[in-house]
Amino acid sequence: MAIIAFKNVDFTVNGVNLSDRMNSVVLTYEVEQQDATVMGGNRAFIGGIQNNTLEVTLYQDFDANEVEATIFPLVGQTTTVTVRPGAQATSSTNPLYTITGAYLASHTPINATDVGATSPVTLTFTGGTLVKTTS
Amino acid sequence: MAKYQVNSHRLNGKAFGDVVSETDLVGANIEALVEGGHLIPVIKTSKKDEAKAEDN
Repeated sequence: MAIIAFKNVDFTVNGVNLSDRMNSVVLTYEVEQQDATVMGGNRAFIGGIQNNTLEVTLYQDFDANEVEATIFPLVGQTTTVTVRPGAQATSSTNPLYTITGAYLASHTPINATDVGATSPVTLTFTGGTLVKTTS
Repeated sequence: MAKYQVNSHRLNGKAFGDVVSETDLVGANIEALVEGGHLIPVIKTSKKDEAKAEDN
């Protein structure tokens, strides 16, 4: 297995593929630790519930079926997001990560801080259930 | 069961013009897809409605 350089990460939100509008994506899979320490023992933990986060940066696009049309209706809603290292078929070397029930709290439709610059939209999906698929 | 026509080239695994049902969209937020213009609800017309339209 080779070290990977991400060049063409595949990303969908609510079944809509926005990979060609995406600049960065960070998926954090977490299972919260819960204290299970007992008298006479050392500090011990057990796994609690998942607390997942997917942060993605897209370039804003107001055309039909593009970024704004897809994201705006999802604010305050839950949906499914997927991400995998490449666009090719899902496999053990190109696993698909799916979060169902991911919540989107906010969106920045207008982010015009530099004259003439592109407008990045950074979204943070939280919660939900993460599943990793390799086939 | 509600049906929808795909009105987008960006829906994973669906082609523009496909007609899909809710079961084909499991896990998706259908309202948001409709609002975003990716799906158009297919409105069924009954035979009575069709007959009325022909009469008019």
